Amino acid sequence: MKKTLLFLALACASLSATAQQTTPATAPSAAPAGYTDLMAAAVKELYRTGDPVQLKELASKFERASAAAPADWLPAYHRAYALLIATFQGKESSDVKDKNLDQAEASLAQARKLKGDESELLVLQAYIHQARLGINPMARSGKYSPQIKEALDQAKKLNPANPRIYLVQGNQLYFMPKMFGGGADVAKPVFEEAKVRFAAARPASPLLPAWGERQVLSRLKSYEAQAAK
Amino acid sequence: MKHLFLSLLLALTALRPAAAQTSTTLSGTVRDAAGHPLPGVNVFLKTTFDGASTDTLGRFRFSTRQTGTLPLVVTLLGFQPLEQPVELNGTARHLALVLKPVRNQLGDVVITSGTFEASDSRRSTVFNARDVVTTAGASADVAGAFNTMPGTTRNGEEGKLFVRGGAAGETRQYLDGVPLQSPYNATVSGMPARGRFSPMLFKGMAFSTGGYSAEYGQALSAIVALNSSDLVEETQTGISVFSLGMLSLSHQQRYERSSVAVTGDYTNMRPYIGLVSQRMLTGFETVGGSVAFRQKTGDMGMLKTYGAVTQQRIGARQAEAGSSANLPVALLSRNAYLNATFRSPLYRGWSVQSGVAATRDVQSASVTTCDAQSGAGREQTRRDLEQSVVGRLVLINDSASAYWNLKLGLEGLAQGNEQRYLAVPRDTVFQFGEQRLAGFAESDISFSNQLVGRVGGRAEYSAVLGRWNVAPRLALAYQLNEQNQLSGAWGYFYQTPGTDILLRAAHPGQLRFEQAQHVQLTYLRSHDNRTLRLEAYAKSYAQLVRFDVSPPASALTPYDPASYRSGGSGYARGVDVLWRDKKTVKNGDYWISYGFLDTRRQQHLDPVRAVPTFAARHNLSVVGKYWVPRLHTLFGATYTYNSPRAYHDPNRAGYNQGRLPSFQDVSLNASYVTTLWKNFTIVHVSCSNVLGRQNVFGHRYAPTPGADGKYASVAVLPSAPRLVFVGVMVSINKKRPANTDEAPE
Repeated sequence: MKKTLLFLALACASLSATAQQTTPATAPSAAPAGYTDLMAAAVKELYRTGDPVQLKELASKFERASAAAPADWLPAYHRAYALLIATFQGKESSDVKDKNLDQAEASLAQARKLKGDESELLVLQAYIHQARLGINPMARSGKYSPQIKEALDQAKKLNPANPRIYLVQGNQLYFMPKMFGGGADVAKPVFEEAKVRFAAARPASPLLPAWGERQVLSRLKSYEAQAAK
Repeated sequence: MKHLFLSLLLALTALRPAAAQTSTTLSGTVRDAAGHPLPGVNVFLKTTFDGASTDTLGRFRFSTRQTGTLPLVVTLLGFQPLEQPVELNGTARHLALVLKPVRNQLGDVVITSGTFEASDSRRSTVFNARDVVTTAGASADVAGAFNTMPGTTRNGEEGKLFVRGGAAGETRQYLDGVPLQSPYNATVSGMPARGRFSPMLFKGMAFSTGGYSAEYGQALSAIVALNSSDLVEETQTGISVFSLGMLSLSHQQRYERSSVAVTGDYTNMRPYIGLVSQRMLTGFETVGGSVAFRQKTGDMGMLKTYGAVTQQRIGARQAEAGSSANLPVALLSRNAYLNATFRSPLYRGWSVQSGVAATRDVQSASVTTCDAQSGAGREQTRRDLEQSVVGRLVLINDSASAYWNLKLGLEGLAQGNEQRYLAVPRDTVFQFGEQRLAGFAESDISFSNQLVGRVGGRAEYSAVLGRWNVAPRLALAYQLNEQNQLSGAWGYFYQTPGTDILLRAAHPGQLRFEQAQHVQLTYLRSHDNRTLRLEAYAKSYAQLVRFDVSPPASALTPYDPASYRSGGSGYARGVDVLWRDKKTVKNGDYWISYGFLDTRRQQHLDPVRAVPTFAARHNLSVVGKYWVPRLHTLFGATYTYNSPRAYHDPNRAGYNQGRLPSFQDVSLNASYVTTLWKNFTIVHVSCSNVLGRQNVFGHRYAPTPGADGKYASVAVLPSAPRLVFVGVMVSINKKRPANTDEAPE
C-alpha cells in the first residue's frame, strides 16, 4: 500500500508538471522542456532579491528564456522589471542608469509586441517613468509626472483590479512634495487600497507578474511605526 | 491497479528527453577586440534556457544536459551578437570569445557644434527650459537667458541677442520650425525689448551660435529655435500679479485628445513709475491675449494653432544732445500673430512637418519737437506697417537606412512693408514687397562607430533682389570616448538686407544677399552633470550693405538712396568657453561662460573696417542657483561683465575710437514655492543691478557742431538703475489640490 501511495504521489507530480508544460497561457508550445519550472524559479528569485548584480544576472536569464520561447511575453516583461529594479538599487551615474532604463524599455516594447497583459505593461511603463524621474526630479518631473499619471489611468481603465497600479500611484504621491499635492498622508489611502487589491488578487500561474505586495506592506508598516513614535 | 500506475509513470518518463544523463560543461572568457574582459555578457545555448552571465573578469561557466550540436549565442548591449555552433558530447569545453562593437546607429553621437539645447527631452542638455525663468537677470525672457551663454554680448539698450560680432538682426528666431517675423515686442529707442512670447509656451528651445543646419536660413550669425508644448497636461486656471502693474489670467482645458489654452493680460506701469523714478519711461500700457489649440491626430500626429494679439502704448522722454529739454516720444503698436503647424507620420518611415504663420505689425511713433523760432511744439509721426505670411513643408525619412536619414524642405515667404511719415499736405511713403522661396536637403550620416556627419545645402530666391543663393553646410562629430567629443562645422549663410535698408534703397535690385562663412571647432566634455565646452570660431562677412550720407542730410532721407551697394565686409573670430556644474554643490547649479571676440567690419556708414558698437572683446557671465528645500525657495544670482564697447566720437580724429566704461551687473532673484488658499503658488522676487552701478550704453551726438565747433552729446543710460520685480503666480487645479490636509506652510 505504501508503495502504491508513493507511486501515486510521483505520478501526480509528473502529471502536474506535464500539465503545466502544456498550459498555453504560460508556455507556448515551442518552449523547451523544463521552461516553466526554470521560469518559475527565476521569477521567485527575482521577487526575493534586491542585489543589483543578481538582478542583472536574472535579466540575462530572462533574455535566454526569451530566446528559448520567443512567442512568450513573460520573459521580456520580467527582464524589464529586473533591469528596472537593478537601476533603483544600483549606484551608477545618471547616464548609465538612463541607459539601463533604455534597455528595460526596449524589453517592455518586446513584451508589448507579443501581446502581453496591457494593464501590467502600462504599470511597468509608469514604474520605469518613475525611475527616470527619480534620476533628476527637479528637471524631469514636468515631463514624467503627467506620463506616469496617463499610463496608470489607462491601466486602471483596462483592469481596475490590478493591485500594482495602486502601489506605483502611491509611490508617486509619497515622493511628491506636499505643495504639489503629494506627501505621505495623501499616499496612505492609496497604499491601503493596494493592500486590499493584493489580498483579492492571486496570480493564476507562478509565471505571471506578482511583485509589489511586500513593498506595500512595508510602506504601511512604516506608517504604523511613524504613528507609534 | 499497481501496474496501471507503473505503466502510466513509464509512459510519462518516456516523454522526457531521453539523453538527460550526459552533461556538458562549457566555460571560457569573453573579451572585446582590444582584449579587455567584458562583464555581464549573456552566453547561452539557443532554444534552451541553459547559459550564464560573465563575471567582472569576463569569465563564464555553465553546464547543460543537451546533446548534439547547438548554436551558442553571446550577447551584450553595444556589441554585435555572436553565434557559433558547439558540439555537446559530455566533454568539457573552454571557449575564448571575442565580441565586436556595433556600428553606431543614428542618434548615438549627437552633433553638438554650435548649439546649446534647452529641452527636457534630450538628457544631456547644456541648458534647460526652466533656466529661462530662474536665471537672475534674465527677467524670464528667452533672449535674456541666452545672453548668459558664451558668444553673446549684452547690449542693455536693446535687450536682443548679439552673437559673435553680429548685429541683432543677424539672429533669426523660429517657432515650431516657422521663421518668426517680429520676435520682439515694440519698444522705443534706448529701452530694451523683450521677446514676444513667454518661455512657458515652450517645451524646448535651442540656441545655435554658428554652423547650424540647412533647415535654417536668413540668419548670418545665430538662430533660436523655439518648440511649443503639445497638449496641456491638466485643466487648470492661473492668476498672476506683478509689481510692474501687470495682471495676467490664464485657463487651460484638457480633453482626451485635444486641449485649449487661453490667456489674457493687462499691464499698466503707471504705479511702478510713480514708485521707482524713471529717467526715460513715462508710461507703459499693454493689453494682450492668446488662444492655443492642440489636437492629436492619429497615433502620432499633432495639429497646433496659436493666435496672439498685443497692443502696446509706451511714453518716454528722449534726451536730446545739446539741449536740456527732453523730447516726448509716444509709441503705439499693434501686433497680431497666427501660427498653425501640423506634424504626422506618413508611410514607410516618412513623416511630415508643416506650418503656416501670418504676422501683422503696426507701429506709430511720434516725437514732439520744439520749433526753434516759434517755440511751439510740433509732432512728427511715423507709421510702420509690416504684413507677412510664411509657410513651410518638411519631409523627413528617419528610416532611410540605419546609418543615414534624409530631410527635405521648402519654405516660402510673402511680405509687404510700408513706412509712412505723416505730414500735411502729403505723406512721405517708403515701401517694398518681397517674395522668397527656399528649398533645403540634409542628411545625417553615421560613418563609423565614432564619426557622424551632417551634409546639407540650402538654396533661396529673393524677388526683391532678383537673385539666387546656394549655401552648402557641413558638420562632423567625432566621439573620442564616452565623455569627450570633438566636432566641427563649416557653411555659408545668407540673409536679405534688413527692412530699413530695403525701404530706403533706390535700387534694391542692385543689392546682393549679405553673406557669412562660418568655420568652428568644438570640444565637449560631458560627464556626470558637469559640462565643459570649448569652441573656437572664425567668421568672414561679405556683401554687407554700405551707403553714404546724402548731401544735404534731411530727417526723412538721411542717407543717399542711390548710394546703397553691397560692398561691405568684415570678420569675427574668437573662443567661447562654458563650464556648467550641477554636481559639486548639492541642490546647487552654476555656470561660467566666457567669450573672447575679435571683430571688425565695414558696413552701413563705416568709412573703414572698425569694431562695431555692439561688440565687446571680453564677455563673462557667472550664474548660480541654489535650492533651499527647508525654505522651499530657489535663490539665484548672476554677474555679467562686458569689456568696453566702441562708439564714434565725432569730436576726435578716427572712427569708432571712443570706449564706453565696461558693463557690469549683479542681479539677484528668489522664487518661493508655497500654497495660497490650497492652490499652488510661486512668489518671485528679483532685482537687477543690485549694486547700482551706472552703466552707459552709448552716446548720442547732435547732427551739427555747436558754436564752439564741437558736437554736443548726451549719454544713453538705462531708464532706471534697477528693475525691481515682485510677482505672485497662483495655479488653481481642481483635480490635484495642493495638499488639503495642512495649512499652507
